[in-house]
Amino acid sequence: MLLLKDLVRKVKDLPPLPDIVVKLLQASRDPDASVREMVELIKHDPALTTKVLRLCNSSYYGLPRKINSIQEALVYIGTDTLVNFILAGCLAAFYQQSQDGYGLESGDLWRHSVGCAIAAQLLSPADDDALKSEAFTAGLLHDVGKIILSSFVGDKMQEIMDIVKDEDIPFEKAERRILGFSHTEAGAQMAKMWNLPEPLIEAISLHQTPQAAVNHKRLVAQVHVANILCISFGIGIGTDGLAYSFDPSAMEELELNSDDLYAISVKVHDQFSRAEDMIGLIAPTGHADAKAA
Amino acid sequence: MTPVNEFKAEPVILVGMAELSVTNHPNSCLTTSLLGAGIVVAVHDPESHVGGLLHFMLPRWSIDKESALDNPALFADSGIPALYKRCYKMGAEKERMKCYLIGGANVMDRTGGFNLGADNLNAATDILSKNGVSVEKTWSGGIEGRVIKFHTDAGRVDVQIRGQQEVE
Ligand SMILES: [Fe+2]
Repeated sequence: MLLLKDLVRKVKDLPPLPDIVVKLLQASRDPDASVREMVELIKHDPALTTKVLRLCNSSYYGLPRKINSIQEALVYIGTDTLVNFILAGCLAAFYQQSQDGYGLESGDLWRHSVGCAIAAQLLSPADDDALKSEAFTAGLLHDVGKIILSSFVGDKMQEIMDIVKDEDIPFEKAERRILGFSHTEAGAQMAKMWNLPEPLIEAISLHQTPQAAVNHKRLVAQVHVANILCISFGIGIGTDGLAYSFDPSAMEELELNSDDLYAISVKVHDQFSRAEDMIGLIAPTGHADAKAA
Repeated sequence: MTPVNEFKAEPVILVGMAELSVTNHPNSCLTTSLLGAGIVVAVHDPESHVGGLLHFMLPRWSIDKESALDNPALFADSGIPALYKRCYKMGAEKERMKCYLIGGANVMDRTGGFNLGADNLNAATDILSKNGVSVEKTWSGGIEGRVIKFHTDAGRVDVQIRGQQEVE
């Protein structure tokens, strides 16, 4: 069984979350932070600038002309989207190691996270850009706890899955019983230690139990439903398979029925197939970047 | 006549979600990305050596008609007819064709609010039976992710559960 101190030590062993991620997250939530400040932050990181420009020029966005600078990127795709790209660029490195404890191959968890980010964003109201952006980030991060728990899961996976099947309970409950923590709790702990904004911590921690959300019900519901969709479509799932429970209160929160979800799924699939550049950020250089930061 | 030993390496064709692929190569392997609630319809005609795989996502084309016109493989009721038509074009005949269904897993849902796997399975069996096709074998339901290998030499389906070694 894991204790909190083991978890904390494990998080400390990870490469640190690049400073720029935390700063950008804070700046993007601060109405007083200027676009220029953000550009300044990004410009000082050439590797990041290159990645961001590559993404802006990818087929995912299909912009009519080539983007050559961060300033131009801001004009064309907007601050929120740009911040998302940067976050994706920085976070990809953390997902690079295979989470083989969970039966995930290298790149699977990243694909799952990008899929969930796209779906969570698509579940936002059309006119709420701030929520769209936050939902995307929350989707990228929702399973971050699997990164640290993976090495503890190891040979206990079978034991966890036996409990899931024998007692017909969702994966994270069996996971907590065997490991001492579920990946949602581990993820929330990481997010706190990384000083991530509070809505993201709530989304990570409650995405499996959205009815428990307090301050960010809508965001948590979006991530919950997005995760269920990605799992259903087999996007980056491991030995845990589809062993997660669906909470209908999230559909009420979002005012959607299952036909609406099916229609949104077509859009998710379409955007996900065009997101290869974002998925490609898992390229081997990613890890080195994070270590150097 | 092509000597059998010319096909030493079985060509592998990956069929992604919302894709369909048909081959008349007598010795190929059609395989899928990880399958959750989506369903694979695998068909095979032993005489013409035509084999095909459809990996559809959702039950009904009425969900998004425009997308269905663009890509029938998204939905059961547009994808299955498209799969059969492609097979006929390559020389398959309906009477000889065998059909297998794999997938349709479900997340845990106590309320029945989201039953994509079951919806998909119903849609597929419905359209197949309306067209007089009987399904040879079905691997469906459960909470497991599945990976499929469909060998067109004998029309054999290997179903592997994610995280387990054995092949069913
Ligand atoms: Fe997830």
